[in-house]
This record gives sequence, structure tokens and C-alpha cells, in this order.
Amino acid sequence: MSRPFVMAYNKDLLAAAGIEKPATSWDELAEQAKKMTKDGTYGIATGYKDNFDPWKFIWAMSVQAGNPLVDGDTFKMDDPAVKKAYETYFGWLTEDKVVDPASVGWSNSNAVAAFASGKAGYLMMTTSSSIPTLEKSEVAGKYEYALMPTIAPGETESKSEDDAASILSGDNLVVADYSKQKDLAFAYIKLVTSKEEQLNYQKIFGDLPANAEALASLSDPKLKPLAEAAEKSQATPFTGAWGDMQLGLLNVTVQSIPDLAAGKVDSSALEARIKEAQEKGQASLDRASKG
Amino acid sequence: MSTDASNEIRLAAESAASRAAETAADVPGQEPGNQSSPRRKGLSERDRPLWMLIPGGFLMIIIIVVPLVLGIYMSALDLDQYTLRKWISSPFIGVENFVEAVTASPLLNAVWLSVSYSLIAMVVTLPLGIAAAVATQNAFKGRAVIRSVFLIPYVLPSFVVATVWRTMFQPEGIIDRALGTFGIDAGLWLNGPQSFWTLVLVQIWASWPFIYLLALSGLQAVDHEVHEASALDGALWWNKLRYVVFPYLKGPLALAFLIGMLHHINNFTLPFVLFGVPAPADVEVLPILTYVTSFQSFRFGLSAAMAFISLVLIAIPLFIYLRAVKLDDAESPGAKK
Repeated sequence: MSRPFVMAYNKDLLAAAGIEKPATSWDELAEQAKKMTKDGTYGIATGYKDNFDPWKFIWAMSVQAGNPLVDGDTFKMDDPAVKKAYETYFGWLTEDKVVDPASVGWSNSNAVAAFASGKAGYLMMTTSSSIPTLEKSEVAGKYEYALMPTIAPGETESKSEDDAASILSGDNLVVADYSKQKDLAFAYIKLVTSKEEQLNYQKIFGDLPANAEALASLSDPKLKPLAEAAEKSQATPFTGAWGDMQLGLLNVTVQSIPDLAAGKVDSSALEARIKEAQEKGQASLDRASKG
Repeated sequence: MSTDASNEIRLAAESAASRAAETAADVPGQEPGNQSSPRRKGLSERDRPLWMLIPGGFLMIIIIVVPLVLGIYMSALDLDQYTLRKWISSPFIGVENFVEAVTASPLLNAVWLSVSYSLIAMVVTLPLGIAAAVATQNAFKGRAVIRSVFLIPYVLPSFVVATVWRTMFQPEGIIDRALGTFGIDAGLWLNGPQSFWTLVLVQIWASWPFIYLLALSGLQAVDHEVHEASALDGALWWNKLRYVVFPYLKGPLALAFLIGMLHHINNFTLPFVLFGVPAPADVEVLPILTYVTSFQSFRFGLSAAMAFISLVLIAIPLFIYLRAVKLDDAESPGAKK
């Protein structure tokens, strides 16, 4: 199954602010969000205390700026693109003031709730699994999905080979090298990835099929941007050290939340936090290449 | 984890209560009991059917001893996601994990946070529990209801307590709004330096009834005659409390203190549910650190070393506790009860 990440937007709020098309660059996103922010309505809904979202933003912006974070045996979190990504992500709150200040305590579900009540223009980092909630909310029929921006902050065109619209997300099936039942395992994989089974799963859980034929047979127009995001998804670096790296990326946000709430993330404090995560991630990568 | 701890506490509460009852029964007829007990002890010891302990002992070995030994052995292995397949035949690296845990991980800071938070929570809950026990000692209308209400925080699962408090502590949540009506802006509860005090506060809320329970059992042990005697001597309430009642509470409360400390140091559910992972640096307590090392970084060997260090840390108060209750010579006449 695949769960590509997209953003949802409130058609009425965008139209009221005179915005014709959802943003395709992060800079444009902030500009549009500013226009929509007034009287208790915010341009963007996102949760800074979510256990996953923060690192996905940083990863995506960094990849789009041409830094996929891992280069061979080197972890590149100390790259300026990463700091820029944090500054952009935190900046929505501290500089642009386009997110609800309470979102320092939100997880993704709080952000979905804010968007569902019609109080936000964009809902970031969401998937098709938000459809059941949104269809029963005030914004039913008033929202659409769109690709998240693919142009890195401060840039005017994509610097990455692929668009990296979303992190490649979904479920993986692995057959161990030392398995004694490889044939059976492969037969199982063939079964669960068949068109029929994948469509059946989609009906029940809302996740998009990983089977291309099955994906093409879905006709709901709402799912189109999701299918496109699935195509433009990129995987996180394939290394055993990724767990630590992800934890480090997330931890920078966790430890910055008090500053965020105070309205200003100090540049040198941010650098120190990035440096610490860089060191831990590199140490973990060293162990991975040794093992 | 939490079930274990609460079982342990319940056991302790029961034993404290039964010892209190024993004390009560012993005091009036102390002399005859003392004289006859050594002889009886000799007789019963000879014919004890010790083989009946085999099933229990077998279970203890499987459930406690084997995992303990395995855990200690794991702490000497380079066991991580890359070597997990080989498990106990992973490379043996001696004390390297311990060295890394102490020198290159936030372990010492975590120990400091765990111990200080436990101690603060304990010191605050003691007077609260005693006050509650004293207040409900004398019969009044509705006492049974009040006593039941007092136990609510104690019977709620940690997970529920933490979830509810987390919701209340949200930025612009109910607590912020309540304080806002008095013009107080308290700042963040769940992140930053204040999160430490949030943890202490919630722990206090959740655990004072335990002190209350044990203090209550201590109060039950105070004889009616003692109350009468002190009343005859003209002792007023404070003197009576200070010199007559409190000495009775010393045993149960020392017990409560130790078990409470153990429970707080071991408490994983509360900080995990309140703050999530990765935890803010101010509440990265020992169990959280061990958990993250194991299940986020997949360094099982290192985390086993951390767990072993926390076991040693806990063994210190545990040792004192075992000495205090004197499980080994409960039958001997002079044992402190």
C-alpha cells in the first residue's frame, strides 16, 4: 500500500483571498498563507508536536534543495539547506505568523481538526486517510488535495532530479535472505499485491494501491493529486542509521518548541541542536557501514 | 510495567496492614507469646514440606532469573539491529556498553532527573497522604465516600492519567485558560524546563493516595488505650499527633517512601504518554532513555547496560526496604515491626 503525503486546501478561503492556484514553492505557500491569515483564520494548519511530521518537512525541503541528507558514508545534516528548512518551517510561526500559536502543542490530528472546522487555508502533510474525517466536517465538499510544494525555500525552480513531492510512504514486505520458506513468502507477496486484493484494501482503509493497474482504475478525482504524489515520491535514505537520523531531525524540533512558543528560535541555538543531531546521526551511520 | 509496580505496592500495603494488625494483637499479651515462640519454631522448621515450593520456584526461575541473566549477558554484547539475527552469539565486547552509557550518552543526566523527580514527588506526597489519612481517621457522616474518592487517582491506570493531564496541559488548553482568567500566562507545560515540574505535579496527583493508604493502615494500629491515656494526660491534638500517633506511622511510611521511590524511578508510562518520544531534554528520565535506545536506535546491548545500571540504582533502596521489613526473620521475637 502507499500513503503519499499531500496538502489539502480550503477552496473557499483560497478564493476569498484571491488565490487562483495552490502554491508550488514553499515561498509562495508562505505568501499565500499570509493573505489568508486574519480574524482567527490561519493560512496553514500543521502540528509542531507531531511525532513524525516535523522531520518529513525538513527532509522534503532539504531533498528539494539538492541535499538528500545521506551521501555515501556521510550524514549531511549540517548542510545550510537543512538549517534553511528549519528556519522556513519554524518561520511560519515566528516570522510569517501564518499558523495558530497553539500548534506548538498540536499533533497532526489537531491540525486536521483545525482545518476541518474551516479555520485554516492549508492542511499540510496529510493523506487520503483524512478523507473520512473531512467528508463529515464543515469543509465537506469545499476542499481539494494538491501536491505539496516541490521547490525548496528561497529557490525558484526544483534543484532535485526528482520532484520529491512526498516521502515514499507505505508498507514494506521483506523476505529474509536466510528464510527457509522463500517460495511461500514470494507467493504471499504476489497475492497481497494483486489488483483485486489491493483494491479491496483501498476500499476498507483508504490507502492507495501499490499495484499500478489498480491505482489507474480508481476514478475519484479527489485522489488524482494523491496518485501524482505517489509517483513523485522519493524514499528516505536506505540505511540502518535512518532511525537515529529521523530521531535527530525530529529532536531538533522537540527541543526548539519552547523557543517557538516564545516567538523566536535563536539562530545559534538552532545550529547547536542541528550539530548535536549531526554528530549522533554520523556516529550511527559509521556503525551501519561497519556492520 | 505499571501492573507490576502496582501489584508490588498492593502487596506491600497488605503486608503493612497485616503487620499493623499483628502489632495491635501483640502488644497487650506480649509476654506469653514471646516465651513460647522459639520452641515452636524449632519444631515446625524440621518438617516443612519444602518440595512444595518446586512449582513456584520453577516459575520464578523462568520468569525472573532467566530474563535477568539474559539481560545482564546482553549488556556485554554488541547487540544492535545489524547483529540481532545472531542474538546471544553477537560479538562479546565486555564493559564497552557500560563505558559508552556512562561517558557518551545522557545516562547520568537521566539518572539525576529520575532520582530528583522521584524524591521531590515523594517529599510532597508524604504530608499530603498523612493529612488525608488523619482527616479521615475519625468517623463522620460520608467518610466512606470521601475515602473512596481519595482512592480514585490510585486506581486509574497511568495511561489514562497521563492522557487526561496531557490534554489539559495543551497550549491554550483548559489549564492555560483557567490560569488566564486570573491573568497568569504560565507558558508551556509539555515542553521546555517547566515540563519537569509538570511530571512532578502529575506524579504527585497520581501517587499520594498510596501514601494515604499506608498511613491509614498505620493509624489503624494505634490502640484505643493509647488515645485514652494521652487524653487523660491532657495532651492536645498537636502533641498527641506528634508524640503519640506519628511514632506508629514510622514503619508504614518508611515502607511507603521506599516503594514510592522505586515506582517513580521505574515509571515509564507517565512520562512516555505525557511528553512522547523524543522527550524534551528536561524529562528524559531513565526508562525513556532506555526505551529510546532500544526501540528507536535499536542498540539493544547498550540499552541492556542502561537497564542494568538502573537495576543497580533501584537495588539500593530495595535492599534497604528488605532490611526494613526483615522478611528473613519475621518469626523471631525481637524483630522490628
